Amino acid sequence: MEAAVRILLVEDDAMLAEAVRTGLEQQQWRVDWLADAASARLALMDHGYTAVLLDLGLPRGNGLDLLKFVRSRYDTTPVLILTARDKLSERISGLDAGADDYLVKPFQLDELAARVRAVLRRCQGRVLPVLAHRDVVIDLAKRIVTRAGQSVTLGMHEYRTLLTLMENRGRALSRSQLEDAVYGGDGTIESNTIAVYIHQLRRKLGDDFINTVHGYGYRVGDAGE
Amino acid sequence: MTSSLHGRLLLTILIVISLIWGAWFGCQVLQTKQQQEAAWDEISRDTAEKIITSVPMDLGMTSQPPGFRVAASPESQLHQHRMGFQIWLKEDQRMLLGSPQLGRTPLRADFIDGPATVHLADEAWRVFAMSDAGNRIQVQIGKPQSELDAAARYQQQITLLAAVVTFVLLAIAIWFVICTSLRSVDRLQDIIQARHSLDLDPLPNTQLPSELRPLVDSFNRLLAQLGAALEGERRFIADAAHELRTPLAALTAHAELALTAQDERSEREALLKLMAVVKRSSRLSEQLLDLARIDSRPEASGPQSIELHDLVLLVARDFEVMASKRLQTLSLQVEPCAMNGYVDELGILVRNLIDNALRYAGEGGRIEIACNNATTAGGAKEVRLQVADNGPGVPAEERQRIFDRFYRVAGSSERGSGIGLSLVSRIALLHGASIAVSEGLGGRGFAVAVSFPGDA
Repeated sequence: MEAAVRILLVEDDAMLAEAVRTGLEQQQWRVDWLADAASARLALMDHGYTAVLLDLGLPRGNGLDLLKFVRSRYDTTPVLILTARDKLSERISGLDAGADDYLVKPFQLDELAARVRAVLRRCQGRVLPVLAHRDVVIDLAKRIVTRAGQSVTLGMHEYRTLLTLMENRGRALSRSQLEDAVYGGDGTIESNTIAVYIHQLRRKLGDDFINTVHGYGYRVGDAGE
Repeated sequence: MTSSLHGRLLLTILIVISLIWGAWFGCQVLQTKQQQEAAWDEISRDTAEKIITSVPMDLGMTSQPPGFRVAASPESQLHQHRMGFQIWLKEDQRMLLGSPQLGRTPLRADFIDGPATVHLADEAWRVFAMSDAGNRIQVQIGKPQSELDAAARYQQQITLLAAVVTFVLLAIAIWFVICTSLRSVDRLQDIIQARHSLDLDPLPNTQLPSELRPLVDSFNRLLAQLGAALEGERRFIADAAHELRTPLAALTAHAELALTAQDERSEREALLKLMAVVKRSSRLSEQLLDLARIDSRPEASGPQSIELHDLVLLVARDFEVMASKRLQTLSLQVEPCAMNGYVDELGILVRNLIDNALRYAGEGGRIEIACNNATTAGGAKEVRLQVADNGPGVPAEERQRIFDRFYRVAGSSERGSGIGLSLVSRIALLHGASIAVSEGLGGRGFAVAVSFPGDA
C-alpha cells in the first residue's frame, strides 16, 4: 500500500506547503503541490491520487467547492481538509460535503502523517460508490443516506458510524473499533458517544437495523453475511 | 423617476393636479358651449316676444321696402355681427319684415316654434322661432353658429389662461412648501456631511418632524453599536500589542541561543524551548483572534440549529494528542443536545473550556466533559455543558474574577493568557447562557457549567 501513495496538496501558503511536503516525503510518499483551486480541479480529473490534502481558503475558487466538485463526479478519493482553528463551521461544512477527515492549523507533521495513514487505511478497498443494506442506501460520494428512497438527515458522526457498520456488514464491531473509525483518533477519549449515535441511528433507520452484540458491540446484517 | 425627494414630490403633485385639472377643463369646454347656446336661445325668445308684441296688426298691408340706415360706427365695423330676424305671415308663408342681409329665404323652412340648428347655404345657424298667440305670424331670429362658437372659445381661452396662471402659482407654492418641509432633512444631511470620519456622537434629535425622529433614533442606535465595536477594537489592539510582546521577546531570545549554541546538545535544548514558546504564542494569537472575532462581530448572521454533542466531540478530538502526551484522561458523556447558537463561537467556548481544564488538571489528570438536556426549576428546557477536572482547582474567592479579561490565578504553575475564560463568558452572554462554577471531580479540581436556553 505504501509503495504507490501519491498525495495532492492544495495549499496557497508556500511556506506551509514546503514544510508539509518535506514532512510527507520523509514517509516515502510522493507529494504534488498546487497553490490554487483551478489547477487542483484540473489535476483531480484523472483520479490518480491516493489522497488529497485540501486547504479551504484558496485563490481562484474555494476548497469547499473543489471538494463538492470531486464528490459530484463520484470520485471517492479520500480528502483531508486543512482548516483554521476558529472556523469550526468550515470544518463541519467540509465534512458534510464529503471530506474524510480534517486537520486544524497549526498542526504537527507527525500528526498529519498519522491522520493521512488512518484515512488511507479506512478508505482502502472501498470500490463501490454506493453501499446498501435492506432499504438503506449510502451514496458515498455525495454523502447522502436514503431509506426506502426517502433521504435521511444524519449528523456527521452518525453518518460515520453507519458507514463503518455498513462497510463491515455481517461483522460485529467493538465499540473501540467503531470509535477508531468514527473519530479516526487514537481512542484516548473515553466516551459514550458511540452508544448515542447508535441510538440516534436506530431512531432514524428502524430499531432492528443495527443489532447489539451483547458484551461486544454492534453489527449490521446477520453474522457472516 | 428622479431620486430627489423634492423633485419626486413636486412632480407627483403636479402630475396629479394637471390630470384633475385637465378633466375639469374638458367638462368646462362642453359646458361653455351649451351655456352659450342656452343663453342665446333665451335672448332670442325674449327678443321674439318683444317683436311680436310691437308689430302693428296691419303690418302686412304696408308694402314699403325698408329704407332706414344706421350711422356707421367704428365698433360695428369691427364686429360684423350677422344676426338677424324675419317676420313671416304663416297663412301664405309671406315675409312681412326681415333683416336685409338674410334675403327672403325663411330661416326655418318648417316654421316649427322653438330653438334649432339649421343649415343655410352650407352654414350652420342657431335659429329661434316663435308664433303669436293667434298663430298668424312667426318671428324667426338667427345667428350663425360660428359666432356663437367664437364667443364660447373666447370664454374658454380666458378660463385656460386663468388656469395656467393658477397652475404656475400653485407649483411655486408647492415647491416652497416642500422645501420648507424638507429643510430638516437637508439640515441633517449637512450635519452628517460636516462630520469627521470617526465621529460617532449621536445626532441631535430635537426639533425634528415626527417622521424623521425614529430614523434619526435608529441611526443613533447604529452609531452607538458602531462606537462600541470600535471601542472593542481599540481595546483589543492595545491588549494584543501588550500580550504579544512578551512571547515575541522570548522567541527571539531562544532563537538566538539556538544559533549561538556551542554544542549539539545545548542547541537542541534551545530548539525545544523555542518550540514551546512557539506553541504558547500560537495559542495566544489564536485566542487573541478569537477575542477580536467576538469583540467586533457579535452577531453578523443569525443563530443556527446546532447539535451540541456533535460539536463537543469534534472539538474534544483536537485535544487528543495533547492529552495523551500529558497522560491525561479525557472523558465524554453526552446526550443528543439540540440548541440554537453560533457554531464558530460555540466552538471557541468549548475549546477554551477543555483547553483550560487540560492545562490546569496537571499531568495524569482527569477531565470530564458532559453535555445533557436539563429542566430548570422554572420548568424551562436547557442544554447544559459541563467541563470538570481533578486538578488543584481555583480558590472560592477567585472564582468570579477568573472570567475577567487578562486575569490570571496567582501561583499557578501554568502560565495562561488570561483570555480563555473571558472568551467563554462573552460567548455565553451572546447565547443568553448562564455560567456556574463549582468544585470539580472527586472533591477537588474545578468545574465550569454553561446552561444554554434549550431548543424552543
